[in-house]
Amino acid sequence: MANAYLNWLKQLLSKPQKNSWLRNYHIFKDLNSFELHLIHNCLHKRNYHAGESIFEEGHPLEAIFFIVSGEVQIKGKISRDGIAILNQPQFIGVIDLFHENTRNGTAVALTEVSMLVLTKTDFFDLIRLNPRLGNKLLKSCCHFICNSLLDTIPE
Amino acid sequence: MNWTKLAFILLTLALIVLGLVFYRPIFTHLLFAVIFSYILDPLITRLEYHRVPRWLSVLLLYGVIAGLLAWFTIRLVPELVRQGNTLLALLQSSDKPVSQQILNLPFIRSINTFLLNVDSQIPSLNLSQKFVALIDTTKMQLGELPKLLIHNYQAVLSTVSFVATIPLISFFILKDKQALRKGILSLAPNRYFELILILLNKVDETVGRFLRAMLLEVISVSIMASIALSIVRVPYAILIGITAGVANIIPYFGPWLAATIAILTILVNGYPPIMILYVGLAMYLVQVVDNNFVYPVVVGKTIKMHPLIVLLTVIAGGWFGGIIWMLVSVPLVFMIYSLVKELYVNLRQFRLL
Repeated sequence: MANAYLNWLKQLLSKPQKNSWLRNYHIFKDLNSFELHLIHNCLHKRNYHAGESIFEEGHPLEAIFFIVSGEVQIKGKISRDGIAILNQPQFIGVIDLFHENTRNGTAVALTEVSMLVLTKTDFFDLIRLNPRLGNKLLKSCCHFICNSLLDTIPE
Repeated sequence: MNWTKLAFILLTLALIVLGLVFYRPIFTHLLFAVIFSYILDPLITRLEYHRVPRWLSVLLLYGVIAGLLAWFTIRLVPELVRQGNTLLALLQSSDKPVSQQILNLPFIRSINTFLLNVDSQIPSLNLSQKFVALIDTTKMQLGELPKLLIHNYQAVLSTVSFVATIPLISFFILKDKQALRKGILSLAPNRYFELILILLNKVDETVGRFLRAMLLEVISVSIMASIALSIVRVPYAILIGITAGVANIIPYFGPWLAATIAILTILVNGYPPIMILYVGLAMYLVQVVDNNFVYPVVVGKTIKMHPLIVLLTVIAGGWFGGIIWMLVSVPLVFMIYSLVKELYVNLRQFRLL
């Protein structure tokens, strides 16, 4: 009987993991549900038509784009051959964010694209205001940047 | 352009115009509510990061502010009322002829003696008589002040309701800050999205930091000036201290205004002239502490505007909307200037200009 009440209370108090899908993105994979809720609060949804420019090389960087659906083509210093096609659950802008604060490539939507946007200001505010969350985010960013670096080294 | 799109744009524009006309009376409420929200937002956000829901954080903070206001009312308002009443009693006393009462004040007496001397040299001028008439008029107008408040109780009530509405609007702005922000940004076209993000963040940072810094500065200068003036035993120290704090918003000229009021109070109350030196020294010390410790810490950087531009802005503000605009014109012009500068830099960077 007591267990039944306890389970009922647990069910009542536990929030559904409605933002757990965000863990598909590499830099959010270690975050708990509350931290994902904070991230979700800061995300803006954007839709792009096929062929529409998302950003151009040399533009100031203020947003990190997380691809939800569709394909994005990047031309620039992103890979050895200077061109890359990205799709869900990849993201654009983290390397430039820690590099020169300007875009190193041009992004164009190849198909109808839906993306989530996290602003640079919100990203650094999240790190500053919640060091625990910041630690996880920065660790994931380091991991992602290292992997990207290793990919560019010729075998 | 197809006709459906044109009709939709025209309909939207018409609705915007109608909306602006309909909601015009609450623009001032909204403006003050936004200012209030900017001041409180960092605390609410900090609490949110400690797992306190935003609505609860706002209510908790309102509770703290209400508590502080109650404490302030209990501790300081009786003293302020006493100081104000003493001034009013001086202006309203009727046991002696008015002019005689005020002319007995040492500072006024010396001016009157000087004017009498001038009159004896040039009898047709009648300067002394005009001076007494001027004092009479001023006294009558100041003495009418409490009656004016009673007669305009409707205006007083509407002011009270205005003040009460602001926390209510602020509650919703603070609670749904992210949703409002997302709503505004969803209207931005993709081409200008990052530019609008940068500008919005700049507005947020500049306005928020400036308003919070100003509030902290007003409070700190009011406290410091009240303490300094109380130490040198200036009458109405708290009233003048608070005036000094508020006037300090105007760079360069604000501090002089408060010092002038303090010196005039000393002269009118017949205190020894050496007190002027003490007041000058006290106000100077307050300014030294403010300029070297408080301002650099709370504002970070000073308003880099030429004194002449500040003076012209203050005068223009005064002509435009009275004392309130004199106070807000300089920070407002500075904020608009820094935003236009930021817009220009970013338009160049995005190769839109």
